[in-house]
Amino acid sequence: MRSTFFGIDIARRALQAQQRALDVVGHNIANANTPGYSRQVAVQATTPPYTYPSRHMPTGAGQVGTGVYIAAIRRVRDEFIDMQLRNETESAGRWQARRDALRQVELIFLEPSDLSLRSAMDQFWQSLQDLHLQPESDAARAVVRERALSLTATFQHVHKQLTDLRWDLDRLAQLEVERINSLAERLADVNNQIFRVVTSGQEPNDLLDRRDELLLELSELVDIDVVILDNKMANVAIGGLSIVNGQHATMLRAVADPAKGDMVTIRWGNTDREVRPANGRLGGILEARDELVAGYLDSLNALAATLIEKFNAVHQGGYGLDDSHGLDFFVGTNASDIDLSKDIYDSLSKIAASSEADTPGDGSNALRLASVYTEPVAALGGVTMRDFFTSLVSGIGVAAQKADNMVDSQAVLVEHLQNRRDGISGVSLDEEMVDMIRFQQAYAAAARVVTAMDEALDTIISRMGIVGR
Amino acid sequence: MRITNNMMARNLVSNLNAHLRRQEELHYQLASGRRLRVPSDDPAATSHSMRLHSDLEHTRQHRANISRALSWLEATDSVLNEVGSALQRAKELAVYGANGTLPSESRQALADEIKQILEHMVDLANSSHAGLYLFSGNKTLTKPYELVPATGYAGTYQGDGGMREYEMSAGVTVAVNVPGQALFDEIFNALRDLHKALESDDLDAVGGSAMAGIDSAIDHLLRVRSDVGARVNRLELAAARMHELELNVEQLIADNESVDIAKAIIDLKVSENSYRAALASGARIIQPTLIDFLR
Repeated sequence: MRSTFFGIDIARRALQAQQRALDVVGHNIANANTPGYSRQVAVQATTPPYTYPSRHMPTGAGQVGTGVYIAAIRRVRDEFIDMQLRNETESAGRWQARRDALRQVELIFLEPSDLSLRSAMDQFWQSLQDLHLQPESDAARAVVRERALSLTATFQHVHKQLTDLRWDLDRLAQLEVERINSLAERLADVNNQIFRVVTSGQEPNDLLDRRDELLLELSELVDIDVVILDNKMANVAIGGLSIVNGQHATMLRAVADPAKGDMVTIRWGNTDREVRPANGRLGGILEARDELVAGYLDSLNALAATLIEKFNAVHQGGYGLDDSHGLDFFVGTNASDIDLSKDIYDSLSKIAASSEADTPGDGSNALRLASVYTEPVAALGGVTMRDFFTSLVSGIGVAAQKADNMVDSQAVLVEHLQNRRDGISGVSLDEEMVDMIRFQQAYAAAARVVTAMDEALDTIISRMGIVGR
Repeated sequence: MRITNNMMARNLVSNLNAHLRRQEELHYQLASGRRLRVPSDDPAATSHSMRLHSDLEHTRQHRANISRALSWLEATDSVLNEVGSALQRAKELAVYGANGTLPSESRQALADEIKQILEHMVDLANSSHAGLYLFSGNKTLTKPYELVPATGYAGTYQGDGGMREYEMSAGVTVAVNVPGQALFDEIFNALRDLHKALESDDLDAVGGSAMAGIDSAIDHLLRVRSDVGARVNRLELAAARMHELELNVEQLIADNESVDIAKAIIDLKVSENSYRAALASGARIIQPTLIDFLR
């Protein structure tokens, strides 16, 4: 026999379930703009049906439904897209760091413009040409000295700016290490909370969103491998070594390394092994510091060293106005310390414009000095100094252009994946409105069922058996 | 695929950004007239541009070199022209003096005039250009000849045989001076012989060896002058070529670096239109939701 109040109970369950579903709709709408939020759905399911107890065979039709309940509140998420998004975000971070560094390098070299190192070299060349026209003239010699000074100053300036840039990148790497540590700690903390909720048998939907958002943030900084455990905690490794293991995080350290001139090496806090990030912002920053900018510095130094050596060799072979001979014009070993020799500083007559002693009108050595620029040099790979510098600058341009393109294409990829993620997990207000109406209507209908049952019971309770009253 | 409100907003923002970036780039090009801001704008064009700028500096420098060379050679030539006139006068005097009917006193007067010419010739040999002696080879600060008071004739040559070489194009030099020794020694010797012959009233020598000496000096001078003329011609040709080259390089630089204004304006217009379209459609699609239609 069916219990008297069975129908009211079904309606009560329906009211509760629709209300819960409405709550979920409200939560979705409230978080429509929360970064990393995935929409949630209240999964409605029928409660276990009821079979009339009977000794031989059922007296009525089939099983009777007992109503509805909310079986689960699930977040809608595709974890495969999350993984792809993390991978592409790593590359986006790396290329962005490289691009930022290369933009600065481009500004340091100031090409194409009249304020660049090339321009200083051209002007120095010009002053030597003028000197060969009038080797007797102190004025022409003074111009050579001034132009040479401005050339050495430009070399030193570019060298200093590139070195400063490397130190800036070094500081940036330290900041990124701090951010990575902080994210790792927060992840371990979220893991801990997730673990507690899961062991109590519930779905930690919002915590999972937080976890995924932290993982995404971390992947922008460094290349990580993520493993999601059965209990929904995320284990994270860099280069095969674990940085977040369940509720525990291992810190990274940025240690000043004497082998790198006191720039930092990233090491594991516990084992002191070196971390070599291959991707992410940190990877890009270290590449820029140790490969790109360091490489440009090497090239600049090679150019300065060649200039010093070749120029001095020719200068030593010539004679000054005062018949001085065998003197150096430049001193120094590279772009950081290239300077004029003391002899040239002190006396214009010591600039060796002539090829022979006692011939003030002979400017042939000045001409030879000028042509140092236009002669191929084996130490620079068989090209002239001018061409070496030109290809250095165009090399920077190509690298920066590639970084620009990669940043753009990674941005497109990331955006595409974000859209795909949003296509699955994002909140659509229209959809939520439709759901809201559905649940609202179902709620109203269930309330009506209560009324109907109430009336039916009223019939039995209040109006039956009054005959003869 | 589900389309959510955030997706539309994100796409709209990123499209608007792309349009604005493009417009900023075109605006920079139009405002500055330059196509290249940093090497990465166009690495190939940048290295081309650097090379062209260096080429332009070189061409300009070589033009300056050539004009300096010409001015030196022209100064030389104008002095040599005067040397020629003086020699002609000496020749006339020699011819006059060789006339047997001329009394000895007159020949003495001719000798005095030859002396004057000789002194003038020393001055000419000591001509300077911008403070530098034209005819002392590379010892440009040393006077090539002094009048020796004891003899009254020119002393020995003090300069050297050095050629003053100017670079007229990459790796090609041209000598701009005439070391004076060979020419002026011959002239001074001829004038001295003539003077002595006239002074000693040696008619045979005046009409013979002294006259021959002057003739030979005139021939020598002509050879030197035609050599100077040839160098001037060569330099003038080179100057014209350098001028042409400079114009070409300037044109190449302009082609390489400057903005095609018409194209940039059209591009800007196109970009502006799509920007407006994106704004208009964005404003339409992000606003309405179902909420607007529910009572």
